[in-house]
Amino acid sequence: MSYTKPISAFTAIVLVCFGTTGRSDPVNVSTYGTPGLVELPTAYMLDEGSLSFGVSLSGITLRNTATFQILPWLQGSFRYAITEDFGSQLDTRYDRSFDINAQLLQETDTFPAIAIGLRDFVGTGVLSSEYIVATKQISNDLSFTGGIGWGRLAGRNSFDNPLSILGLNSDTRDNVTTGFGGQVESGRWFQGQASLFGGLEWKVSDDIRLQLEYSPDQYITEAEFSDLRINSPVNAALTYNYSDKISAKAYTIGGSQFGVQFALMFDAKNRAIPGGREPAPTPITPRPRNGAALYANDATALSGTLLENELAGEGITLHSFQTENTTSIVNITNNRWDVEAQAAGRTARSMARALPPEIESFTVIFQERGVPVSSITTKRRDLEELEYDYDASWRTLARAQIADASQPGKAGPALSYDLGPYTAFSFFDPSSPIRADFGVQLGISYQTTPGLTFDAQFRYPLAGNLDGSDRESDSTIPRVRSESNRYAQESDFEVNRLTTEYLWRPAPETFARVTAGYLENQYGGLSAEMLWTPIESRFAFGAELNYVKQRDFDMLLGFQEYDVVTGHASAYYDLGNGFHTQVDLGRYLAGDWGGTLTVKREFNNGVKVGGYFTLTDVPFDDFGEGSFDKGLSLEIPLSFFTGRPSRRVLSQNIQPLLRDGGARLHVQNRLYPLVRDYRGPELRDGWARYLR
Amino acid sequence: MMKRFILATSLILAACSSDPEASGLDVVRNFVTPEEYVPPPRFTALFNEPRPVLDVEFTDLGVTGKLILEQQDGPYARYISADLGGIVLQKGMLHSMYGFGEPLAGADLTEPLGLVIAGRAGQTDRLHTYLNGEDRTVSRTYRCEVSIIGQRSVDLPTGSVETTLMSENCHGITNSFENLYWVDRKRDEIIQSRQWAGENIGSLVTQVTFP
Repeated sequence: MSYTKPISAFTAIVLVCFGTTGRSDPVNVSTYGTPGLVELPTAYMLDEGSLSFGVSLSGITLRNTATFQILPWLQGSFRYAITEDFGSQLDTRYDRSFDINAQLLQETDTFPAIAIGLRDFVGTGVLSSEYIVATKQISNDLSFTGGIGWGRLAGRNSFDNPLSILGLNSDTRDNVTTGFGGQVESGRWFQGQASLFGGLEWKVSDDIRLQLEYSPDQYITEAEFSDLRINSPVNAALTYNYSDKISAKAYTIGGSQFGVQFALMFDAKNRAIPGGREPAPTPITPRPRNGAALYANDATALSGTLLENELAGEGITLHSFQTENTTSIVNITNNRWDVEAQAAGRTARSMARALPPEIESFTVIFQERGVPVSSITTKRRDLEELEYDYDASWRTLARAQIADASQPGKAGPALSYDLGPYTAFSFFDPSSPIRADFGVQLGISYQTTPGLTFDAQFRYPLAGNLDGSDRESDSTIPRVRSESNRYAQESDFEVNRLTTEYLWRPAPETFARVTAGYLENQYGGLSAEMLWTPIESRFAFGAELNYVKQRDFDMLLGFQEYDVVTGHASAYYDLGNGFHTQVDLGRYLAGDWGGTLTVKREFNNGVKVGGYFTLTDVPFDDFGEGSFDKGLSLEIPLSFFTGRPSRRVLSQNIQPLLRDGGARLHVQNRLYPLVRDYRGPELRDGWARYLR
Repeated sequence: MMKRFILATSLILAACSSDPEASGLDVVRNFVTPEEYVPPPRFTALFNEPRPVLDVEFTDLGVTGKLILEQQDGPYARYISADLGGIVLQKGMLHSMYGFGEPLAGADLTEPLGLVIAGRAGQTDRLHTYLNGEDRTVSRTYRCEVSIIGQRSVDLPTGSVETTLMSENCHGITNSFENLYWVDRKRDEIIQSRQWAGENIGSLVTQVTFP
């Protein structure tokens, strides 16, 4: 047989992903990084789940904006703007701001889309404005936008506030920032004078668009400190849409300032490679026709060896294999599959290939760090019967049993290590908005018995500027995080972690953890946690108590004087429709009492976009700049881009200000994130890949 | 500084991990400069005995190549490619795909397959199940008209085969397509076809050569 031209699944995939440039009427973004014309907003929304990253550079300012379409009608933005020679000291101004924008009405054949938005509604308010805007497409090539604005959008030809009939201030707007900024300035919204604005977008060709607008924004705040004058209200831009995901724009503001813009759209709802490119699963051989099967004839030990080899090929570690009557039970650790149900499916397939025909039932017990988390039992004949069923995922799920697994874990001693490069980042330091270190990292982990693990992580930075920040803490409360730069400055070889950890199952549906040692870069001590998480519940409750001492700045083995008892009671709830929330109440590192609310939009493919804020009994004035702790997070599984299954997740937290109030300990292997993916709701959410 | 540079270079070259799922550096290294692909034993072992070979052309993408039969389960033939992409055919009709950029998870082909193999015209329904971008299954139903086009000879590497050419015109809410099948009258199986797989890759042409 000749075999000269192998088809490559990868080639086909590359062509699917990059061979076409879909251009289905992309929504363009303004210099503010939200759907708009040049500077003005439109009433359009991005597709749900879209994340837009925009960089806009003009002679006036640099704006970096991330916009996330949280719901079909609701979007939120975070912006980091850099303006040179701004303020009475003519310093460079670094400004963080948040926008929120809601579409009230969708566009129809006869009515325009209508949206309401708040720009820079938390923070110092330099960019703050509010608007109500309408956009209507009147032909395939032309759309018009018109609206009314307040704040910055009420510069030219302003008039008394029409909302004064609702009791809002008619002609003055309080522009004084409360305290140290960072607070929700609701007292300012829709206050003061208002102006009308409008514009159009003309589709010159498939990939070129022209935007023209009348903008009331006169850049009065910036003009106070410079000779900047925006005399014309007309802004114009030419946008090149390379695809519906990538665009570039050249624009002018008032004909006197010029700028360029680049925008990239990321679609969190769709994996980059449809369906992924993992190897096709091995066939389940029906037992009556077992010619090609690998069945071990009788000896259980032989079956176990066959199974171990089969599973190793799937990136799954077999810890134990036992047979009771016609049921085989395996304890495994999933090292490869980011969709846990797929790991269960691959294990069941391997069992169907390796185990003798008389075995009727397969039970797969997932373990994490040696501790059983859950079990999935599948009847062998269901796999055989449903392998080619068009509705196999639903039908196999209906017939599978997902249960808690609280029996003692099974695992022999295991040593693992990882030596390689690392990068560490610090954002938003005023003297250098992005700082980074690059170096070498060694991680070692030794599990002696199930649940008992010794972990160490060391780093040696080779290059970078994390130690370049000379910003001195001005904190008036214990400096539990605000001296983070001193750890970079005064260390060389870093002992990041050196811990002993014990995980166990004290009762059904319950997990427990105790960790002792050097828990994180800045703290060492003792951490204890319990979690109650019923296998089928969307609720989980946990409690954590830690006694920690602040480590020396050299990140070796010494401690400073400061110690604290810190801990939280936590409630976790899967709200459904892709939203997940967590509430933590307790005592933070500086001894302050309060709570943190975290909300995440979670896509079933593993992408998570979240935000949180913490309020404690530290007064806003004592907290300092930003008034209270808040931040954003983004997690994207590596498999989202590569199509290859992997447990690795690319994650980044964006914490605009690192202060001392509301600061938490960073202990490893908190129980909820450790076990959640193997509990009932998450396993069911991934079941469509069970037979893939 | 030079010392640090030498240390960095040597440590990165020596980067290693006990985790067979690859260290972080390996992930980057493999993604940027993939090593020359060596087909795995699961694929090469199939050449130990004569097996049917599936020639495929993804017409919309302009990609062609060969897959080899991994296992025959009754009417279902599972073919795999050198990089372990998979295509499952039910008596030659496309049932499911793995790793080719089209997440067709399964199909209920009972009605169209019955008519096509029997060489009869008529109206049928077919059901496709896809995995969407959020790893959830999405089912699509198509109403199809099966017609007889006529008798055709198909030239295979092993010789000429007499077939009946059948067409299947399908309409769904979001897509419409036409499939063509050359049915080997002796085997009661489709040996050559043009079939629509899904929105991502469009249609493929298949030809099965039996040893």
